Amino acid sequence: MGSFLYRRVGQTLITLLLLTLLIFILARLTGDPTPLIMPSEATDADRAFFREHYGLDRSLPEQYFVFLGNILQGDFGVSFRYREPALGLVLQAIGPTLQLSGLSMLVAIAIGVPMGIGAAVIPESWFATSVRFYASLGQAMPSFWVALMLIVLFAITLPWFPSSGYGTAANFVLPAVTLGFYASASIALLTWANMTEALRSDFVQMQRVLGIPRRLIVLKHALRNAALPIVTYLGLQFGLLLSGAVVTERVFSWPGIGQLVVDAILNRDYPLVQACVLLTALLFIAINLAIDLLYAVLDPRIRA
Amino acid sequence: MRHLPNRPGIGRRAAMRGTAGIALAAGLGVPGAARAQAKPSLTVALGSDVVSLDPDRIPGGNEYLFMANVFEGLYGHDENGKLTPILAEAVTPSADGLAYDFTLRAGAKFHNGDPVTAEDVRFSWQRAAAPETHNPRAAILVANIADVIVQDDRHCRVTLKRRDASFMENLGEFFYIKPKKYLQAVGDEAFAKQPVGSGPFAFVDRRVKSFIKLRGFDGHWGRVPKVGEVMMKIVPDDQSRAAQIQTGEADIVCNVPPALVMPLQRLPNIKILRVSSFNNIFVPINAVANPNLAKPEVRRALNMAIDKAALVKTVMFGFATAQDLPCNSAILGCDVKVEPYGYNPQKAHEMLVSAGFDFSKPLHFLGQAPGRVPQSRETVEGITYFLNKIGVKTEVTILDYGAWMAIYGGKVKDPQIDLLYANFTDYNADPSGRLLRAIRSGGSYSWYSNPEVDAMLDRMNDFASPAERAPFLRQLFAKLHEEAPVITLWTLDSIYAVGKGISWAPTPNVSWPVLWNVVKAA
Amino acid sequence: MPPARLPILAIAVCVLLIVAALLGGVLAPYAADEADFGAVMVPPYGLEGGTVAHLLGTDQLGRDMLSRLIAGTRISMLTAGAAVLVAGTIGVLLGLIAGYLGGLVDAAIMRLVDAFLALPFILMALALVAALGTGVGNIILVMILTNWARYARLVRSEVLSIKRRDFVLLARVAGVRPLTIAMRHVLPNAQTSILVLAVLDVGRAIILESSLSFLGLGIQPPDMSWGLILAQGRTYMGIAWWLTVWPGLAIVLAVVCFNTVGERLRVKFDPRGAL
Repeated sequence: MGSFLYRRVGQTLITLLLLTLLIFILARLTGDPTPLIMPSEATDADRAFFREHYGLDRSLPEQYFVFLGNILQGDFGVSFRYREPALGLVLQAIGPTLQLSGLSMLVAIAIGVPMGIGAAVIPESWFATSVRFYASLGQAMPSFWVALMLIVLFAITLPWFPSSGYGTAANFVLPAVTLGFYASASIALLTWANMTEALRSDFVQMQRVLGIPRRLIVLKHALRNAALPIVTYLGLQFGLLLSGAVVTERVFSWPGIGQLVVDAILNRDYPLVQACVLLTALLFIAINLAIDLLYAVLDPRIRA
Repeated sequence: MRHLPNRPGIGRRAAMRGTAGIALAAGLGVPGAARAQAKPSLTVALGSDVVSLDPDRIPGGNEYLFMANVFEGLYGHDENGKLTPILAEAVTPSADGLAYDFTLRAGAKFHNGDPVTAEDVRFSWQRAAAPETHNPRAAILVANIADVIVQDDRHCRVTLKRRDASFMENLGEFFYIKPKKYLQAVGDEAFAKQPVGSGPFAFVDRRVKSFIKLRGFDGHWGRVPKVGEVMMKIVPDDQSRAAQIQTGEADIVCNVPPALVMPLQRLPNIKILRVSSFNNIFVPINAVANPNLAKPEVRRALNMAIDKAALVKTVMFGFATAQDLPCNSAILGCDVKVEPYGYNPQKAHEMLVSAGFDFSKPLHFLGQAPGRVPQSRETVEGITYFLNKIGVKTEVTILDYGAWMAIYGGKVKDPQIDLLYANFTDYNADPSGRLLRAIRSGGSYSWYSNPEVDAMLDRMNDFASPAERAPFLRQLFAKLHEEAPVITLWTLDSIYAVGKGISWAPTPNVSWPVLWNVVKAA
Repeated sequence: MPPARLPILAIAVCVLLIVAALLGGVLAPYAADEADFGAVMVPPYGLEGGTVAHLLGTDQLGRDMLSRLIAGTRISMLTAGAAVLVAGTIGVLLGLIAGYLGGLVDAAIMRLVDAFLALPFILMALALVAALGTGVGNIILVMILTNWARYARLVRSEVLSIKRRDFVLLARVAGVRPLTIAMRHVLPNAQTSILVLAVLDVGRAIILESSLSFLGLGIQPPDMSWGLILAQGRTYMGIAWWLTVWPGLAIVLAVVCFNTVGERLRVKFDPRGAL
């Protein structure tokens, strides 16, 4: 167990190092921020000062090592555009994003798991067919499209929820449903598949023979067996939700990390891009590492 | 204040004095907050956030949505966009145009209660011009100030290094007055976080990319807002922002995209307000690198090829004003009468043929992705259509604003680019800044070079007064019309959607909301 | 899930889309970028003001929607197809190498895969578009860069499991060269999973392209894709619904069909759901 843990954590650290390089290169590739940050009236001296001030006049390898050294000390630099520490801006934005992703996940589980169980229990039925239909639609509809439709229906035609913004509980409804809809489709399919398999397993068949009520078997034993892969999937899905959040946050003007990073990229705000992407990736890696380790505890075969 | 008569003249003056008293009382801690809360609050949905709250750190035009409401210059613009005294009451320019004697307004105050004095004017110049401030716009006005001589609290003399006919017009947007005492007490950094100005609204709070909260300043010398708290919400997405007015979440929505006006207009209780703006859309022609475009006849022919009226009607939904010159006719000098290049594809084609235009080479046209300027992509599509119609081949590339800007504003102009979609916003009626940047050889946005025009541009501001300069400017614009360095298109209209109970006359010709004259029914 | 029948309808739609993408202009009644300022925003046939000349209506510049959709099919399918094909090839090769050689090479490739998978794909896509610029070629490149890592990971795990099987071990003992083993024995055994992933990826690529276009950073005129038509039409949603509904339907239909085919293949070949 110990060696597995060390190896896994070591791998993660190498991955992280590679990530910093990738992010650094990606950010620089987007072009020179000077014309965007400095107005056209600025003199050449002003422009030179800007480049010097943010270390953009140094060689790329030098810039990279400064960047790496700084992040090791927890310093992600100062946003070119907002002139505030990038880390602070990201931390400010990550809260709303996590709240939204978490809530969407709950929505997705609340919709997807019962659907999957139902479809597995009664596979040849109108219910199963509708679950399949629902899942196909959920995976096929671009999330911005869903968001637009929801706004038209439930903010404009029927003014029940605010169309955008952040702050009150009502603000959460439409974005969480948008993101949750997408995730619920995959969760329904996954639960369906796992549940079907669990119901076929010898253990469950045996219980059936023993005369334990079907409802009890499904809820108690089969669900437990089906739950583990779903948990893994949630870890992956969480990363996907962060991606989906980029578009969804845009539509709902959600003050989250998705909005922040899109603007940062468009503004060539290197420090902010780097901080956003790195911290998001870190979160993603941490969640998956935790899940891997959890798995290793639960399923000894993986440790090999 | 609502119970006071709001008549012009004596009544108004009396009202102002009354107001000042109340604000002072509030500043001293006498319970006056209840009064401020009695005024209705206002929610405004904006498309983009500001970068800096420090008036000496303005990187772009978008900042004025904050600056124009919180800070003031000695002179500025009134509700009709005309030059008017703001923190000054009067000015006496010297005959040689090198000195301006200002009398400051009695009763003008900063938001913290301190009076605006000549000392603040001097300090504001010093700070704005100091090299360590790195004020990116110092070159426009403050760098040319030789000295600010304080005569007494309410009088000062500003002397210039060179004559500058654009001085008065630029005072509003390029020389904001900051509170010396407060700034020196708290320092630059704290000031940028909690700025104090003298404008109709005081800064309260801000969350980057989310909101800016202001409060109506009851102590203002004259433009006392009729609303209390102002919540400026940042809603970048066009559709979402427009939806804010439908759901009643915002009282005013700024920058409504033209395509969304019609559906909004159908709804009850929503009014669409439109005013002209200085935001000019045009297509610079790379006459320097491409020999095919070097002849003025060719560039004139390209101007004739575009049916501006049709594009304004379809692409812009009528929310733009087609222009004969590359500027709004309210820009000084742009009122010159020229013979417009009417839409005439046949003649355009003939002109190109007789000028020896090479039709086999496509023109590389750089467009701007949507997000910044309404209908930017559709405009490029429309222009391409008309160019293709007269046999000019095009090769279109559309880039996001940052990548587009790197090329448009690049130090070295890309010789591969022949045409660009460009927009340029003048902050006031003075054309000198725009012409130097967009037309003069070596200007950051200039794709044109002509020594004769350069010579004219270089002496453009070398006049003692705007009146003296006026004929020269007209001559200059007539010359530019003839030279056709750009394909002239139109100026955008500013479109606002306002909700129930709001009455407001937005200031024309500025591209930001000036909110002090908003009235909201309780 | 229940045993799957062949989804005839979904396959038919996929084939139709591919045919439309290949033939493109031949099928379209008009040139896709032919503007007509006399017929701006004509509603679809059957509605008041609609004409047979423009079955699905016209857009803000009077261009025929049906022709635009067909032209859009071409680019949408081309970008998705090319992205999947190239990303798949690169990913499969790297996965084979990593899985087969093992050791340091494996570690290096897999850490890179992890790094790519940890970056939210849309962020990477946005940064790349900002860096490289828009245009069909660049969008394809972006999709390749964001997609290859999944194939590499899948193929590597397949290789690892196949490597230990008897027939591969036998071949090795018999002295067959590693590359030959990989190509002849390992790859054919992994091909169904790769195929399934690829078919599912077509849908994903179409959605990614439309999301990028929605953010204003995808395909740009004069090229055309469903995502672009939808994003451009979005502005006019309140006055001309057909500008958004048709491309939206096209996207949903295409993704549903490719996903259905992919899902059925997955159920058939890979009931464990390891993908």
